[in-house]
Amino acid sequence: MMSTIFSFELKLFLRSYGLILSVFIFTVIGIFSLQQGVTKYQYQQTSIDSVLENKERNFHKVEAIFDTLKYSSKERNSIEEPFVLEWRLQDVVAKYLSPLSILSIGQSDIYSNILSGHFNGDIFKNKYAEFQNPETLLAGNLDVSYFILFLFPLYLIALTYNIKSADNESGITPILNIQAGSINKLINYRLLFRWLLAMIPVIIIALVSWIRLSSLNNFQTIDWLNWWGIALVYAIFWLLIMALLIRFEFSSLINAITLAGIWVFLLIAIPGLLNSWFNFKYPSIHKIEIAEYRDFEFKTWDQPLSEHKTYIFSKYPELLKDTAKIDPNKIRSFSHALKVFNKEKELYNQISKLNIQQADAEENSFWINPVGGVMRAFVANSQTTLKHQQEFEKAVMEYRLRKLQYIFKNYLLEEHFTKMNFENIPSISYETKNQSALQFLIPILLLSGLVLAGILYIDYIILFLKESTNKPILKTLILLIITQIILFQTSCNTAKYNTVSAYNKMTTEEKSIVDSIIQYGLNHEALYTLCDTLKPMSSIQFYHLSLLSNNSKQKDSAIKSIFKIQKAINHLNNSEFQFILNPYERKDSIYRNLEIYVFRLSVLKKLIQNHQEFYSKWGITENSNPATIIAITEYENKYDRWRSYGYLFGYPDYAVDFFVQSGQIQDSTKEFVKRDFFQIPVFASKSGHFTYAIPKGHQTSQIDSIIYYKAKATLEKYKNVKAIQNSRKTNSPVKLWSRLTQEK
Amino acid sequence: MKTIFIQTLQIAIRQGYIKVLTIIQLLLFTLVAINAMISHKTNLKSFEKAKTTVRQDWLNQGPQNPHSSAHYGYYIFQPVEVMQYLDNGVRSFAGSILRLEAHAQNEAAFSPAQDKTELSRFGGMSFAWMLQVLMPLFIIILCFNSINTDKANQNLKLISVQGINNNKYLWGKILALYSIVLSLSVAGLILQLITYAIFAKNAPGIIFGNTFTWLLIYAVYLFILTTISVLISAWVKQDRSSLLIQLASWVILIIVMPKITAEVGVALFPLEHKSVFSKALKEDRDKGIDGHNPADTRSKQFMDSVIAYYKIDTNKVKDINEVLPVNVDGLVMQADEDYANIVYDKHFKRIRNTIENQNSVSKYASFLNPYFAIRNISMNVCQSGFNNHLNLLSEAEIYRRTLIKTLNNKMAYGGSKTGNWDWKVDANYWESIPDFTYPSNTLSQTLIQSKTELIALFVWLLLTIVITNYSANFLKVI
Repeated sequence: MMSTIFSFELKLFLRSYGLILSVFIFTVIGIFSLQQGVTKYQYQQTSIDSVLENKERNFHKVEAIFDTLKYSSKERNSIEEPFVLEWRLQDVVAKYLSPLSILSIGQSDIYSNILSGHFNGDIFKNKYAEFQNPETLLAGNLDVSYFILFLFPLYLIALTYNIKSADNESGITPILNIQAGSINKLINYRLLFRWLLAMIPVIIIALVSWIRLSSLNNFQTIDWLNWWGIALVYAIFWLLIMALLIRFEFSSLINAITLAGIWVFLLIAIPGLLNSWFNFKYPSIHKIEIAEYRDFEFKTWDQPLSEHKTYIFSKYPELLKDTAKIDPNKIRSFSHALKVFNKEKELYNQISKLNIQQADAEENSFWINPVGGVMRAFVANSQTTLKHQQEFEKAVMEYRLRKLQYIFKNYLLEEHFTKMNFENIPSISYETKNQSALQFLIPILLLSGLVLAGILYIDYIILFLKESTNKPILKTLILLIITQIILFQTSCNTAKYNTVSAYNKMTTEEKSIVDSIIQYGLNHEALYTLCDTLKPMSSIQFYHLSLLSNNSKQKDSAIKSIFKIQKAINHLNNSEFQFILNPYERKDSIYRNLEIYVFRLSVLKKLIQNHQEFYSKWGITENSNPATIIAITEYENKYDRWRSYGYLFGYPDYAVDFFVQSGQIQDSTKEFVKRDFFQIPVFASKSGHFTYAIPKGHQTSQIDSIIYYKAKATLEKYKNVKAIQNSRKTNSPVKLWSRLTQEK
Repeated sequence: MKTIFIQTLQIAIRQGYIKVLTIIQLLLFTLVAINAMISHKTNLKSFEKAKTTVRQDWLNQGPQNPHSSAHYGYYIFQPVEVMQYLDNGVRSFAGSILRLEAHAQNEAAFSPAQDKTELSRFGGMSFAWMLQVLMPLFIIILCFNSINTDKANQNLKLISVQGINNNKYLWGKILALYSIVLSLSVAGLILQLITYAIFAKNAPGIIFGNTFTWLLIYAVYLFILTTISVLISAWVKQDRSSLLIQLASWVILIIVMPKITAEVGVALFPLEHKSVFSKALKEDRDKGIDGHNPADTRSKQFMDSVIAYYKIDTNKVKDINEVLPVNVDGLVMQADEDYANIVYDKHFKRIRNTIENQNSVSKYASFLNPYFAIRNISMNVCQSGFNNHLNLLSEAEIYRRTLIKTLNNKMAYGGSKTGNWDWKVDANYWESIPDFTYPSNTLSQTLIQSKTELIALFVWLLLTIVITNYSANFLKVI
């Protein structure tokens, strides 16, 4: 079956130039996004190469100076002094650029990849930071991760939103239904094909990215595979979303709106709101601290020498033994450099701690922002996260401290800072740790699992209904139990939910109309349709409207009334009850009489089954629309009309027969057939409402008694519930009716 | 037209999903208002405190050598304007702290985005963002089937039979749906203003002229979008096709195109590497005078010129520095500054021109996509755009140059002698140096900044009106 459907879909695809064009355009956008990453990577790499070249040049220049150094006092300040040495070296440290940062740029265009390696380099005044255009940064990057996260779902939605609904709307579904094989399977295969179609550009970009990236230094195939594995997880997530949605069988329009809504919700609204929240919770306020740091830097130099000495000797007690030979100015210089460095480090730690807190809080929010988790997984794999940046910055800080200590200790203790000392200056050792991307994917994996469970459950219910006989007994039993539980839950809630929920959605005017109708119905014989199964149908409200008037105002007003009533009662229809506004055949001058009837469909069905012979002559079956039944009844000849109304109103068969026969006798003999009436009380009155004619002197039969006592019990129940409802002041008749149906 | 207007309004208001979306929008407006208020207050408080602290630090320097103070420098912070409450613009990506000091023209550092993770690139929510991005989506949902449904259920046929011409019908539809969009937007703005009025007790008051103009421009933008959405509904037969076309357009124009435009700008006008810039700057600076190196040839020449100016016979004088009425160090440093300023102007101008050229792509793209027009105008009116950032940098640089010149002059003419770096001014001297005045653009200035975008928006408005009238002639009733 799969190969047939794939071959069919492929033919469709090849015939549709629009689809081919869309795949092409989408692929071009993907390649463009990859190219953006490459451009950014090359730009950053060029910067790094350039500063590292410069660093090497400076290193050799300084090395050359040491080669010719005579260690005269004049030369001392031109190379041996630590600040001068560092100024000549112009030391820089560059961050390792992962080739995968081409695929997910992340914040790497904002974070600095190059930092000063000067021991007093000042991380807050990074002269190596590239120029930035804030407007470009605001627009963001169109990189491959953006392409996958934002554009792929949209393309998939466009390809699949009407995969099933289009068949329904064009009337193909019935034809498909009669074909051999499961229609679900057919839809699943078609969905799979379209998903693969949407994946074509993704696969092409993956291959192109392999070609572009594999030639770069430090490229690791496993990391590349991991990256695209994350993309695959995300693509499958959207496939599952699509698969779940089509099972609800909404129209194409609703599908399109729902999917667009899900997209906006997952990719725009949730991340946007969370960002706003995090900006508020973790504000970037370091203005005063930065100003204070400058103050500290300036004022530290002027501190008394004793303070500098105390500071240095407390930090490095091993220097105490050489106190006599150390130049006090060198101590001041060392102390100043170290104090400023430590202050800088303290401030840096303070800022980075706050930033890490935010990053951690974001990770916790992935349960409500699963797409954020995917984004983090991408950048974690590409080593462009905030944590990677901080690892780099901390490594640079540590390096600078080691260098500071080394240079100054030598400067303090040695007579000269020699070439050997120079060559032994510590170098940076910085290793990028790989962050596990899987942890960020757990929320989306779990969500995918839930969606899959939903799909399987829906499929099993359908399968069970269709093929329960072929299922193993245990499976069938389990499904039966589950279905029973659900049906039980549903049955407990459906009537209430349907009616009350429909009621809640009505306008005030509609509410007032249906309340008055139901109130009247419950107070009269319709109680035995609305809350009992005694009457398949009851008349509820009678209207006398000037529909036949020549006066347009009168006529319009009547039509307006009908429009409102019809619209209001339509809301009350559900699988058990149907309300119909039916016109009487007879007219009264300018007036037409109309009546609202309520049908209890399950009881009506049984009634038609029981009187199939009578109703079949009009083609009425148990599944016929009540409106058809009532229309035929009203407009048929009077004996059939009487009989049908009798059955529909729930009168016993013998009473219906008597009434019709009496009419016939009366018509032929012109003599009135004497009769009695069997009265069943209603809330409004003890007699005159649920009443039927019986032969004169007829002894109450068993059927009369059953009807009477059942009706009496329902009436009592109604009275009790109504009393409770009144005491609660929740006096909506519709809600009262709903409550009565719950307490069945 | 009145009948169509009322009927369209009634139908739209009755739609359940419109009610739900309206409630969601209002909820988001409220959330955005509260969030913006808290951020605005925090930023304002932080700005005011930092500004005061820096000034106090400056005033409390005590006796100090003027050139040491020039190195000590001054800090300028990203100012907080009341209108930024509505649109934060590029502020998150622009440097928020600028250090002013001798010998160097620094760039603004510490953009708020620097401290954030990659998730911040999904964007935050502001009221302007909601009007620019989410409101078009609401318009699409509201209007995508406004005409084609009438065609499908033959209402349009009935309407035309009743003598309502297509033009009136179209305008009735557009105006009715637009009135919903505008009402919601105005309600959103009122929510923002009420929130501001309640919570921003000590903050500067809302400028109603600016706010009203801002709203007026958004009203034009939303009108253009509503009209286009209704027109697509008239042109496309099936409602689902109309929805798909409009959703695709929304994604392309509002989500994807800004990124592509930005990338095109970067590709057409690439920014030079910092290393290249620094090298060029250094080369030019090396050609000038070195204010801190008396052994420098140019410094010596300068000294000779000063000696010649004061007609001092070096053969007769034992210590020239004692005889000179000025401190030549101050003069040399100012000469260094004057030269450096020329160099900085030359190089920074190149960088800023490149950035402006990059941004001009989105500016001219306003003629293709009204989103760019509204985004740029909105940022400018709210003083949160790149132009405002640039304006701040320019004013700060003028202040820096004046400040350093004042300090160098004090060094030169304040009574100290050349080579006496221990000379200090009185502690109360610092009060004589005025504080930096933060620039604030008037409404007309911000509108002038956005003239290209305003013209683009006007062209769009004109086009939509003309096309609507033209389309009315060809509107098929079935």
